Amino acid sequence: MTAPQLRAFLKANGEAFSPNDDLGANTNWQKAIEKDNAFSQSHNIAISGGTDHSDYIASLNYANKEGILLASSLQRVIARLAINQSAIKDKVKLGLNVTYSNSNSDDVPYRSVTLLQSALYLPVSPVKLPSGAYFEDFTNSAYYNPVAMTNNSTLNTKYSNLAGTLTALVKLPFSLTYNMDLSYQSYITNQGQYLDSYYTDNFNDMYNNPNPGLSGHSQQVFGQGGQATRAAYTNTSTLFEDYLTWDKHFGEHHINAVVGYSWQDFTNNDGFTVTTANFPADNISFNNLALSNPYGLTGFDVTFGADGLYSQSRLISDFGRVTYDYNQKYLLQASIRRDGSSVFGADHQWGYFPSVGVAWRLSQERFMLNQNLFTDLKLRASYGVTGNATGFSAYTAQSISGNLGTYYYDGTTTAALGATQEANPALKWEKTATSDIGVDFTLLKGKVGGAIDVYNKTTTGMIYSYAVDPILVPSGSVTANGGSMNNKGIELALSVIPVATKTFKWTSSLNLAHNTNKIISLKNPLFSGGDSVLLADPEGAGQSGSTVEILKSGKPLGQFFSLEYAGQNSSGVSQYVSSTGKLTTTPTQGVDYHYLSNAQPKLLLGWANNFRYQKFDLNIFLRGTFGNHIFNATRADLFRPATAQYDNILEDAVHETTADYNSYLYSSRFVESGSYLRLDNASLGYTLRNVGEYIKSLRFYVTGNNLFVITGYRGIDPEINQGGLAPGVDYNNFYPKTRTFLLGANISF
Amino acid sequence: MKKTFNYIIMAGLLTSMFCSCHKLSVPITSELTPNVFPQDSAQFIQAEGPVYVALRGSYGVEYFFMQTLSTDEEILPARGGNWYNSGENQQLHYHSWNSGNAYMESMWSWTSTIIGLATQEMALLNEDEPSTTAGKSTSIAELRTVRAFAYLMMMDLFGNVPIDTVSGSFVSQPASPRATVAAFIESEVKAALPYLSSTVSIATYGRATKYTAYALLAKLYLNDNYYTAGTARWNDCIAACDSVINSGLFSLQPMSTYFAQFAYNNGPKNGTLDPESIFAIPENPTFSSGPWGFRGTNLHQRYDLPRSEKAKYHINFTPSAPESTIPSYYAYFYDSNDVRNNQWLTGLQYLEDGVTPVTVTTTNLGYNQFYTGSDPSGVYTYQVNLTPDIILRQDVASFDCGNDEIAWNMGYRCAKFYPDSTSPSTAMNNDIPVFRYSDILLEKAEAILRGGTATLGQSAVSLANELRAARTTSTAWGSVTLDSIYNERCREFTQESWHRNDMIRFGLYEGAWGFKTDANPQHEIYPIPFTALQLNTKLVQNPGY
Repeated sequence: MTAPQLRAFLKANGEAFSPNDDLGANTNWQKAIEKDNAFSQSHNIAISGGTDHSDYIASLNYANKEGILLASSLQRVIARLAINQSAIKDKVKLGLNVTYSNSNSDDVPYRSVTLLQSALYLPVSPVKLPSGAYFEDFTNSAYYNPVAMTNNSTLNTKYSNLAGTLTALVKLPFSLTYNMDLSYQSYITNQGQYLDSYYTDNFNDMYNNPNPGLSGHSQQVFGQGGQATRAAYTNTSTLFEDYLTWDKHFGEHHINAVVGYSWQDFTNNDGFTVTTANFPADNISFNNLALSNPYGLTGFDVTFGADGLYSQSRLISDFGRVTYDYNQKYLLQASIRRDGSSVFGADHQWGYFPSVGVAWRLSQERFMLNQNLFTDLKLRASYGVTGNATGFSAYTAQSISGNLGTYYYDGTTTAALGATQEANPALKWEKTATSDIGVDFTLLKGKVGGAIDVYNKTTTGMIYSYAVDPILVPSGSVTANGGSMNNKGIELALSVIPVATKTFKWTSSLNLAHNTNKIISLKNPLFSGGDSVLLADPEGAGQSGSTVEILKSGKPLGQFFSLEYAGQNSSGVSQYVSSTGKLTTTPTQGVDYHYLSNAQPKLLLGWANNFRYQKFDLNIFLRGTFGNHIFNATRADLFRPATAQYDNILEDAVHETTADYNSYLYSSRFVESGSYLRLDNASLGYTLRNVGEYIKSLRFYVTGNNLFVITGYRGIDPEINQGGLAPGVDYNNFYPKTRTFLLGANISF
Repeated sequence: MKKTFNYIIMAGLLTSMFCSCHKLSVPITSELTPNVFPQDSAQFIQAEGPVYVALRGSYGVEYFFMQTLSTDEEILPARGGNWYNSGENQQLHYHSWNSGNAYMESMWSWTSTIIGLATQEMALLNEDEPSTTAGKSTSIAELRTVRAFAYLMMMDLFGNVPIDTVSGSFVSQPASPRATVAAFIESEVKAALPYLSSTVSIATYGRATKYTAYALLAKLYLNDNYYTAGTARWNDCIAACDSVINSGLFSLQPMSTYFAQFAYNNGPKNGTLDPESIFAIPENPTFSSGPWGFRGTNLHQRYDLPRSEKAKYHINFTPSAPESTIPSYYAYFYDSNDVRNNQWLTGLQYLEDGVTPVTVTTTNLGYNQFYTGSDPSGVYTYQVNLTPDIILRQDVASFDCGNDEIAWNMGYRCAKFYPDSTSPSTAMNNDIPVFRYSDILLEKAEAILRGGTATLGQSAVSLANELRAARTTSTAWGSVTLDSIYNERCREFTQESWHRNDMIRFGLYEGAWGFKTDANPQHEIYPIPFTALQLNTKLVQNPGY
């Protein structure tokens, strides 16, 4: 609400602001931490050339984007070089591909806290007092001037990525080809954060605001006199792969067979974090940690970030594949992989992953020769199993000890070290078996083409951290294989050329997808602690511990499980349906919860259109999601009329009363449809060819991103996190969605 | 020639592909895996630590609440919604708890974790520590005794509990009957006894000695009649007490220094051990409690001190102050010559000089939230006067006294653990006693009164008088009854987490006090929490829940 709106609301409810806060201002705090306009630019230069036996391409791209928030920006440089060389009568081909990219971005530390504050802060307070000092009111708990937060802190992150690949292809006798790839990638992050002395002295002990999931928010203890954090980590990966291909035609028969080997080594988070505090001057920022004096502070320790980040893992595979076709009419493919990963228990590192597929191209059959409808028609069926060895720590199968506190031993304070992770030598590959039946078709001489696929995908042995009785496992959990999950669905891809004349051409392609997700089981024969796990705790003010989702057999991921809103009682207080079906104004967390809808969409849509008229071209891309629901916890947190004296509320809470101390509780009231249709991108271009002597072509274009969204969703943007274990919760989602316009030119020489 | 050359290349390629490296083992160079920890004697001491950190983890706060707020000793009502905490403290007072009460969950997992850690550490030491290491068998016996103590607490709280002693097993056990658990605890302590140290010194402080084991057995035998529904073992209890008494290593703290054993510099911190201390939980504000967080300390000054007395005690934070006793418990302190009366803060409050009043300046409305006069914001200064009764003025249903000065001054406060002005935080340096010599004397007296045979020339009345001589200047008792032993225990063990156990053993737990009228004997055992039933599907909920 604006200042006049909130003032009127309080007056109508017989309340008033504290004179500490009400300085007669009308501040739009969300605007106050944003730029009015943000400009971006991007430049790209490429050169290429070659001879009969070699070619090369080199390019350089530079981009500079200003973020919408004050102090946020991104600069990026990408350089690419690719060289191919043939030798020994073209029997040997060598390739070298090197890419280097470097980015440098600035952001606001504790961005989600800052954004939350910009939504909560009372509009009647000014950004600054007449004295020039920032306005603050620390008598109001967890209440920080968001402009002061933004202007008294910096967060800079630099990434650099070097990827190099060397490839060799050797043509051998007997229809054999040998391929070898050797690649190396190094990804370096270097981050610096500085909270200046104003920040550390005024905002100490604030809580961070992470995204909902399995872990909660935590209190941030700052060292006074400015606090700097540096973090530098390198991830490297090395890949060696070689394979031998035999490709042979015998009349109508064609066989292609491949055998190969690959070896990959990953080192992640090789580096360190350090946080220190107490600087003589704030402008040193995070650039010279040696000037800090952390030992001059009591109750502050230099810290080194999270424990156990460094990891090294290896993945080795042997693979073979045979494809056979008869006259491109009957096609058969079978493959098998033997994959080994160091992350599993010693006796379970290797897994076998077969797949088989058949296809029948009906359009090649004699009985199809006399029709004109189908240009191509192919029926397909396949079944395959894949393995997953990612998504958890590389040392998950091992017993690992860590710090568990300190204790008294013989007159001294002694470190207590014990198992923080239990060994699970039975940890093995998580497997996903996919069956797919599909048809590919081209109609009317290529004017209409498409594919329909029906699939059934079942993941078994899901790797998950099971809660275990601490009497057996004192750390309380074991990461093990157990649950299973199913995804069934249908996908349709269609591309049509409705109009194609010499001067005007319209091509349109549509993708539709429907998927049904269901958790079949979350148990392991030994561990029952995976089922009925409550998760996604947005931790809004006054309702810590109120989770909004549940992981449960028979339900999909993203199943909302929360209070059921049942209107207001005669005193105007929100009431909820209790576990016994009665109405209550004092519902119990976790007990009076009900199954609500879920975050899984019924339909995903993508629709691309391309129009070309003479020298003009127009691309339009629409995207949509339908049938999903979103738990709008952001809205709930701002829907607290009872505390409107201290924290701003949403405009549409205007019809509520301050007597309703329950209105903000997470409940079915805040579950909304998440359906939307977005004009994601539209681009209009004009191309001139052979301009003058040196310029081959010249294209001018204008592009708009995020031009409109049609949705009934009341949050900032219906497009929220849909991945992970807790999809579909809109929490602290205040990052302003931007609409961008881009003007550009492409010149080819 | 060319063909031969081709064959050689082919053979070479195939060999290189299929004999390539298939070695998946990656050395772990960044974690404490069993290969590197624990390997030497310093590491074995560090590896024993987690069980002691865990024992400290909830002993001082939540275990204290379970054993105390469920009795007439202390009450923790809400103050204007603060401290309501989903009614968990209210339920302890009314005996209206259910398996969803957060304390059930934390107590079950706390005692289970101590047991699990002890089992794990015993196996680790047993397998990995060289048998030549001095003290190896003592370290293992100490862990075994701590595990038995955790079993005693778990069985005392929850009745039938599972006996798990196999490290590395993922197979849950069904709950064993309470009597079986009691027998298991006895056999475990007896098995550990020969290897435990008989030295009572700074070197063994905070860990189990032979006398910890005897004190544990005495407590078990004294309650055996209740735990096992039948067999009385009074003479076993007396024998265990005698083993402590005969050691000559313990004595009663004289009256003049009674409170020293609960002070911030108690335990080895003042250079000598407290003469009554048999087993204590060492506390220190600088200890890190790992996963147990800030409650893994002694927090009595946070819960018990009036908010207005921060300056009086020179403490470095404003106490929260929701906890007090109720008049029916304070009534046990009727002997004006008893030093233990001084643990209570009652009535008008004065600074340390005993003359200067403790005053608070507030508004008329701040003093009394139900003020209806014409000047609610008028300044009001008054001398703090702690009143004995707890009155749920704001709302009985939500256990709420209100959030004004009147409400904050309700209830007499216990400052037995004298506030720690040396601590920068709410955490206190005051070690928490588990077994004290005075408990041994009163246990022996009680066992004699209940039918055991007196030994060492001592009688129930001589034992009681031995203690009273160190607590009061009133004349010695001529005779003693079970009732007077109970009353003496109330005076002696306030805030030492034994009162629920005492009330049950004396058959008083079904009585009415404060706002509580519940008389259901099934409430002598707490419900098994929801998550425990989920994690161990072999458990069966206790009767009545």
